[in-house]
Amino acid sequence: MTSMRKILFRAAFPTAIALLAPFALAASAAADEPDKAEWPCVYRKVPILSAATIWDGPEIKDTSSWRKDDAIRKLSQFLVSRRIKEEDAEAAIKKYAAGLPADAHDAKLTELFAAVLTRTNEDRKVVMSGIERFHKRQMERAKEIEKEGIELPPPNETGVTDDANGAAGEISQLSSKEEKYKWEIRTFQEKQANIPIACEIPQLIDERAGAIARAIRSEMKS
Amino acid sequence: MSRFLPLMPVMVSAAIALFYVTPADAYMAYITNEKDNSLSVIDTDKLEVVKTVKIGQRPRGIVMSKDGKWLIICTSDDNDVKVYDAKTLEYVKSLPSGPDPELLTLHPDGKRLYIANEDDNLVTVVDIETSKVITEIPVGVEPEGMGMSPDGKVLVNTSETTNMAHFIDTTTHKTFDNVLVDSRPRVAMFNAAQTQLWVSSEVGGTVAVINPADRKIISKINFAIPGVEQESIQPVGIRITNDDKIAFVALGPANRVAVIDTSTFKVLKYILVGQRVWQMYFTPDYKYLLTTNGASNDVTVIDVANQKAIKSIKVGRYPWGVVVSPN
Repeated sequence: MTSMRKILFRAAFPTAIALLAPFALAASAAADEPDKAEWPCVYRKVPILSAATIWDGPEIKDTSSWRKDDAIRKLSQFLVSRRIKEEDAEAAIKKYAAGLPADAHDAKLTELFAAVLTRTNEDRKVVMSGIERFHKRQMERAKEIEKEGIELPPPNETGVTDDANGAAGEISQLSSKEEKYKWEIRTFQEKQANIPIACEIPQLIDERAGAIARAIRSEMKS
Repeated sequence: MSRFLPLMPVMVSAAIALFYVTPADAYMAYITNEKDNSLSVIDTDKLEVVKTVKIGQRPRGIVMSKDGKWLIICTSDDNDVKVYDAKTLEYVKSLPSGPDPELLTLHPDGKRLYIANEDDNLVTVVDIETSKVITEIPVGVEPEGMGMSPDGKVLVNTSETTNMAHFIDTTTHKTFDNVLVDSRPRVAMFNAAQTQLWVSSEVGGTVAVINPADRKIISKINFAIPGVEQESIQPVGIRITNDDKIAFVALGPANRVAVIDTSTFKVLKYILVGQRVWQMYFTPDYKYLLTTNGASNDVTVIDVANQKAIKSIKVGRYPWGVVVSPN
């Protein structure tokens, strides 16, 4: 091992430990606050999107009757899909509203909103629990890596030497441990970088639901 | 039919003239998009985005120079305030500020700019023409809202952590009074007659109305929206109509703008708008009120007379501040 590699290695340990420290701290602090332990996003977790936050139409009392209406079941599925462009969703709502009989017009649109809201909350639940599971795994991983870091011998006691008489087998074994440790940190950080991206998904779901609600509401007469 | 023909060119040109003359109220609204580092420009006649340009890092507070020539924007992550030409949207210059500037207000003299620097507990006063710092005023912890009295004599700065509205004399640049309000005060707004100062408290969920003459709280306004949990009601932006009769308060993640009678302090209605409604601005004719909705990435247009949301306009990500050109 060249002296440069020795320096790099020695330098890498404190850095790696420092980088992991916030996660380890978060893990211990989070134990006292269950919400923070499970939810890694910067914004507060809102487990259920309530109708009132995106809807000023008639009160939503019935959230299941829509399942019996084939047209609403299919249309709501189409509307909540984020692959469908917002303008296409709006056009579909317009078309549906235009075909409704006058006496059931607003009631059916309200039912459509109830369907969209229910499906939205189902989607949110899946995504949010996915984020929480991922976060939990990362917290556990941070603890494991931190433990491995502590167990590694300090750089000046690693036995790393250029001395020809040194135990070559021992050097290579220790080096591979260090290499593994470095890679684990790198993988951990790469995974960690995905959390803010994942945290955007519930917001996108809510944004979509708001747009759909507005489009449905604008077709209503009451 | 033939006898109408000679009139045709006249009618056509009259129609064209009408078409081009009507949009006398076509103001431009400028929206800062905090996450996209961009500025969206909305034509308030067409009610659509006509231009989007990249600007500095994390743009938030925005004001316009008195003559409508400059846009002055807090680019928080660049730790400065940037000036852009409102017509060409080209960068003109940077103004000095402390770290992490968030909100600003311009003195009625059109020269003195007051900038709240969240990180160092100071309000920086800058001459926008010479770009020189005039002075720095120490205020409470995490200064935030900046309300200028219409006569320019008093600046009210709110501090997020100290939970106070600090009254600053703009001649001596000294604080002469402090009023305790509810948790995390955000925006301070005078009415035109200068008889009321409205201060929103984001975490407290209330708006305090203070008499600027004796600095006593006249009224504390609470909000309740059926079906919306109380914690979601987070008052931020405040705007008052030019006749001082109606106040609009943006309620953050409650996705509502409260409409309040300024004589009774009663909430008349809640208008459903986009998600996490933050700041607002009137068009100069007071026909529309535009709201920035940080979570739904849009701007809601409220018809002021009818107190109704009439349109949602998609802008960049995390729209934050809004200003409308005076001409």
